[in-house]
Amino acid sequence: MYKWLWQTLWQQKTGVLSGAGSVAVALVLVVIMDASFVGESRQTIAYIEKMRADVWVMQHGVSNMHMASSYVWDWKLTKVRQVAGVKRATPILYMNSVFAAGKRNWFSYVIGLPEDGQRAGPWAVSSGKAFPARGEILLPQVLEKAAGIKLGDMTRIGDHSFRIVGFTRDTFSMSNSIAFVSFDDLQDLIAVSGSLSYILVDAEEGVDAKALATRIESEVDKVTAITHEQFLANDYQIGLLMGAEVLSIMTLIGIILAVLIAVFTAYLQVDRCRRELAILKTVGFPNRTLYGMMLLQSMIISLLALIFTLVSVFILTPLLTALVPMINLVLTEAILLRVSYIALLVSLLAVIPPAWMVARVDPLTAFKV
Amino acid sequence: MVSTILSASHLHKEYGSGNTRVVAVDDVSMEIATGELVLIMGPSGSGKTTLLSMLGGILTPSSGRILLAGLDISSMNEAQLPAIRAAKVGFIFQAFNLLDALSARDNILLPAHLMPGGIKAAAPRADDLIRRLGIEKRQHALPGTLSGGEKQRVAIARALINQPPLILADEPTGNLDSQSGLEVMMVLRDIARDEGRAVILVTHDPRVEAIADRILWLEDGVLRDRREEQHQWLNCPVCRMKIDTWNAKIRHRAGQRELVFCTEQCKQKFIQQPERYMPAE
Amino acid sequence: MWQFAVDQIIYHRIRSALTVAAIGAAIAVTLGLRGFELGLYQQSRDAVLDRGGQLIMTQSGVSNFIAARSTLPQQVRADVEAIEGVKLAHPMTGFWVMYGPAGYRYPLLLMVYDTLGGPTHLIAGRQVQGSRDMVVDIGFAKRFALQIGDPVVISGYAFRVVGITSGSAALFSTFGFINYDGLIDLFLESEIAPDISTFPLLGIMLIELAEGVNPVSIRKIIEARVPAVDVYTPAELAQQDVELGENLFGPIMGVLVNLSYLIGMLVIGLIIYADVNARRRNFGVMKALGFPYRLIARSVILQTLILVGLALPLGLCLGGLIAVVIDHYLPVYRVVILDIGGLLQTLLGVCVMSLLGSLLPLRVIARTDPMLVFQVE
Repeated sequence: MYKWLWQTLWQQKTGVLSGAGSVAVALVLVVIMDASFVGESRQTIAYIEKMRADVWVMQHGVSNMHMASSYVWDWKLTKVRQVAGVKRATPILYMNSVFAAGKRNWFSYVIGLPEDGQRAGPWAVSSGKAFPARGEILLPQVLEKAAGIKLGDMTRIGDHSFRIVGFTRDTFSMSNSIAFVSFDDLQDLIAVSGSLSYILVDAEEGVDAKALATRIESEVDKVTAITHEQFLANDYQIGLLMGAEVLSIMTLIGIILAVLIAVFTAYLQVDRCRRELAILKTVGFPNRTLYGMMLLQSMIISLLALIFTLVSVFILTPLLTALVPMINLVLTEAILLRVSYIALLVSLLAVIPPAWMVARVDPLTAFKV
Repeated sequence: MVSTILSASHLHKEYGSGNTRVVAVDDVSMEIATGELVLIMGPSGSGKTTLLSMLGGILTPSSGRILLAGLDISSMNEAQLPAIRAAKVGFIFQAFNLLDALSARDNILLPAHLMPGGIKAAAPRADDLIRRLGIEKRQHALPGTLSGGEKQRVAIARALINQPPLILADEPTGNLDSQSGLEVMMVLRDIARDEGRAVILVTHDPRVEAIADRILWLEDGVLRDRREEQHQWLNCPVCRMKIDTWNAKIRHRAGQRELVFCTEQCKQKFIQQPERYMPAE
Repeated sequence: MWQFAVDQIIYHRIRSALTVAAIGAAIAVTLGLRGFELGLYQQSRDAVLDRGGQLIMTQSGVSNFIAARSTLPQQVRADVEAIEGVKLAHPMTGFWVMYGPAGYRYPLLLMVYDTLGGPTHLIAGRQVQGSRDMVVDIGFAKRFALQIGDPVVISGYAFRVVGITSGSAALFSTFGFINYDGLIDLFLESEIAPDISTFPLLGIMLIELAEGVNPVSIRKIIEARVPAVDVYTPAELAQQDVELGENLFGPIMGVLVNLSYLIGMLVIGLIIYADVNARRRNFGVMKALGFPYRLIARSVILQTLILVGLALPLGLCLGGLIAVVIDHYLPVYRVVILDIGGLLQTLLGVCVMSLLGSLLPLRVIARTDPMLVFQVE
């Protein structure tokens, strides 16, 4: 019985493969959207993740970095440094802004680094200097091509001009490319003095970060101190929340598309072997056996679609990233697992119309020419 | 006036090569005149359909020449052949091959799309064919709702709509009941005799022999004129089934007599108990 | 051939309906993605245009509204209003705050205005009047289940929702409108900033001109008379924000939209391919009857175009449905379906998709052997 199904599918392999291919392209869209969303969300927290400060200190009431502003009196830096267990405290000034590079504007995190602030500077430099002096700026390498800029060119943030002295890697994203300037320059730009935004605290060896954060909050007035993990989670949550719903809708659309194609493929399969199904009914196979076969058929098509999807995305992801470096695509186990669940869901939903058709096949068809 | 409409000479068709080489038709020559109904018979796999396909310009012969209405169709390519098929040949198939989505009338008119004047010019002809074939009441029905006989009448009308000089029919009664089969045969006979078209019929149906002008026998790719051969109908000694001694292959010599059997099983039964099955002299 | 194609579609009506549905869904995906991208840009544009004024003044070098930080000195208002032809200068500023409980924090762009620049599309409640009044976008209200009268506590200072507006969102986040009294009280009564100097009290100026004054000519006068400012028409500034959005979202949206075109083409191609495959016998019969390949191919292309033609309005309706669903459940996003440019682009894309898609199965027709007519099913 199942051999018949297998042989039928094999005989109609072109139709089955084209159907599975169509389902796969719908699933590929879902995966690419998912991967870009995860890539973007991860890039949102790239700075925090790469800095890996044990504790982040910021303005009281602020608990994240993405799209936030934080101002802490600079004398509190000394206070933080005096807290037991603090090995090193590095201040940064920070703002969300737009810089002009090439002929276009780019949204960015602008991070102002003090003279001894290498600790908070770029983690991977592709060319040029690794640290900005006054009047200098380090920009994401991706913009070298995208904006058509090179070392030595000038860029502008507000009414301040900067010379591009270095390009950094892994610092570009849609929502928060990272530009590094000197602390003093950013202070001038924001028109504030005596303030900093965040303090990156490295703990002495053996000191518990959570305990240190609590200690800092109790010893330094009106600041928030958060462990690296918590700070990371806070920003990641905002990134997720800002795009998760769109992703859900797009995924739902992708699923509907995949189900429609799977239904179409299954319908064609049943339509082609309507006569054989009538024969099977005539010789006494009950409907439930035929439903089981339809389910199996649907699952085979979905499994093939899943395989095509996985192969395609493993080829497409590096290809797209190479072709369009401005997008961040990250494939995770969770994404792959999710698309597998979707494929299973598609196979279950796509079995309903063919099963309905099977139920309507008249055994008398077997006697007709 | 009777004239040759189809002439095939030294037709040869083979498939594959080396060990897989199969000769389907071997050195077949024939001439068909207008108004003639020719039957091609032969066992399964003897090359009947291959021959028919070559004569109809669906298949190109490996070698040999086919002249259809004076045109050498064996040297034509696939770009030239469709026009020949549309204008010069009418096909009738065992499986009817009607397009499910079209009504009987639209199926009949389908080949007319390919002719000058299109379906508009062919419409009166279609009406006439529909009337002659007795399918007026069913002309707007879809093929799925027609009986086998009706489907084949529609297929015949379709084959005639462009008034081709040659009709090729492949087992046209194979899927029909006895009565419908007889009716279809009579229609084909009329087409040949009254309309002066050449009809070549491939069939296993021995009843058709009576209406045929000529019967050709194709076996192992080789064609013979059957009417020139000796026919003797005998009963199988074991099961009593009727057998034509002319084409019987399973034979056994019992003493001085040569017996023919319908199947190898009957022959073995006879060998085991010859005294039981030996026919009377 | 037209009639033949139509008959085929009608006869295989379930198959045709499924094909139209699948192609319609593929078109809807393309329209949805394109509409989402257009919506992002339109939101950025509207965020500027809805503020009012005939000219907008920013800090020198700042050419964006939402994402850039612009700080103007306090005295510029008097300087601008002193220029002949300027009727009024309306101050505005804006800054981001994070709102919501831990684990569900969401950015809210607080737009602070005085006499112009406030909410323009009120759908409930009233405009801001007092220092605790806030008008929030419907997207924000829905996300946090806020109704008129509910508190919105920022840094310990409780605003109260007095109005709900629609279409006040951009860059994946929503706007909340307060007035300057509210801003001052927020600063004084909360710990939102340690120093007033870190607060962008005056971000931009919305300039209202006297009747008959040409905005283009007066902007040069303003820029010459008032130091360290740039002056734009709202359309120019809006365009800058649209371009910024295009820079930010263009690459990924471009990939997704192009991928959806590719998917649409493959879906159409593969569906028609499967359809053609299922009807191979018919094509074999037609070939045997003398139909040349080009005629059969033409009928398949025609049939594809008819199916795509039927799928287009369906795709448009499905796309519209997506827009309505998103507008209802997630008003922070906007999906623009009925945009002439976008529609034409999608239409063109769909035509190319369908033509390319119908080319895929033509090989099947070319390879269909008319000999199969002799086979008995």
